[in-house]
Amino acid sequence: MSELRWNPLLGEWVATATHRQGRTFLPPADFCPLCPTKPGGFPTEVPEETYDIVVFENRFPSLRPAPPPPAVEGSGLYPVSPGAGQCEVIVYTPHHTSTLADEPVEQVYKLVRVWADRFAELGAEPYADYVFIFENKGEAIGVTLHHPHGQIYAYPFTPPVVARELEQSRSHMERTGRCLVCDITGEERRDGRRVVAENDSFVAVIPFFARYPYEVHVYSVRHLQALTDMSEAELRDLASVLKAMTSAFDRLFGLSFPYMMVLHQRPTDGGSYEHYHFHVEFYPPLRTAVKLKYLAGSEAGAGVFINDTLAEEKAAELRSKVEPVVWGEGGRAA
Amino acid sequence: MTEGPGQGEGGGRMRERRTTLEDGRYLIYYTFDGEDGGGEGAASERPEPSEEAEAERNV
Repeated sequence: MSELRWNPLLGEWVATATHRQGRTFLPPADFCPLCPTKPGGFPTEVPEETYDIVVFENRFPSLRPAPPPPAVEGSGLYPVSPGAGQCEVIVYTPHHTSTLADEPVEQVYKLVRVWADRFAELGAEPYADYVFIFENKGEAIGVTLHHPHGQIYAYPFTPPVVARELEQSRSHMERTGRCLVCDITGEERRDGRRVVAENDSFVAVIPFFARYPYEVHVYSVRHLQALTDMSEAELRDLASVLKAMTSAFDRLFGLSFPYMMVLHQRPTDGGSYEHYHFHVEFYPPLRTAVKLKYLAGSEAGAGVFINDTLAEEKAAELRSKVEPVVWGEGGRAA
Repeated sequence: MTEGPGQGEGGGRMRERRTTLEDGRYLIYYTFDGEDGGGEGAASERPEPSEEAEAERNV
């Protein structure tokens, strides 16, 4: 059963998806549902013996194009809506133990191109007001499957975090005549202390206002709103910077670094969002090799993050772990 | 088989093949023809960087 329940206190939707309670949880490698199906072996989600990148509808979706009726009846105070939308799984590689950091940049580039294709296709669906591309990586984040993969949700509304960014961006443009993220990028490049990685098309920073010790934002240099606005060169540069950042994360403590990675793009509801600016955000929960940054009372209850670290110091640390990305090597680290 | 974005722009050609799983869900295989090591085509799309910008780029 899945549905959308309105939260009148915060003015936002909550999705319930009770069937997700029974979803596959950390299976052994031999029973990984995202690996290719071996001849005579356990039937996985992917029937073929190998693949480059594969996308499929989530078996346990929070939203679906033809949702069932809600489990409860709504009211004037508590509107309820069927859970209309789409949830896709995107599997980065057939190699079970790999990660985005381990994959050659050419594979990351393929992923970026598939993202653009999914954004375009799902964004054209009548139920999709917002296409959200993201990755949860690591047990510390709560992932239930180790195989390297991400997800794509097509929401029937613009989600609250993006809605706030849109409003901030609109307000800044109205006040100054300039794009907010363009101003942020300009200030970060002039200052330099928080810049971690940079190429022709993207700048990666630990933001001035970082909430997590190693939070990273990747901003496009050119003012654009979505993957589908990017040139071939920009898509390649995005692959390079994502490869660089995920690899640098792993070098910090010499372990596969957990994170949430989210792409913030324009809504797909047909509106005009020229004031908005594409970017990627990473939320890594580790603050040391063994300690997590938890979302406790202040963060979860008041929305005020407490960061025990200085962005400038963490940026210097992370920048020292960044290595140039070389195309054409083709090798996989793991 | 359909072809996706990025074709003919200096990148490897992306193809997609759709199938339907036993429970009715769709699954899309994406394949890429030809290895793409970056190429001159991509570089030529960018304006010539300044020396200062060149020095700052690290990825």
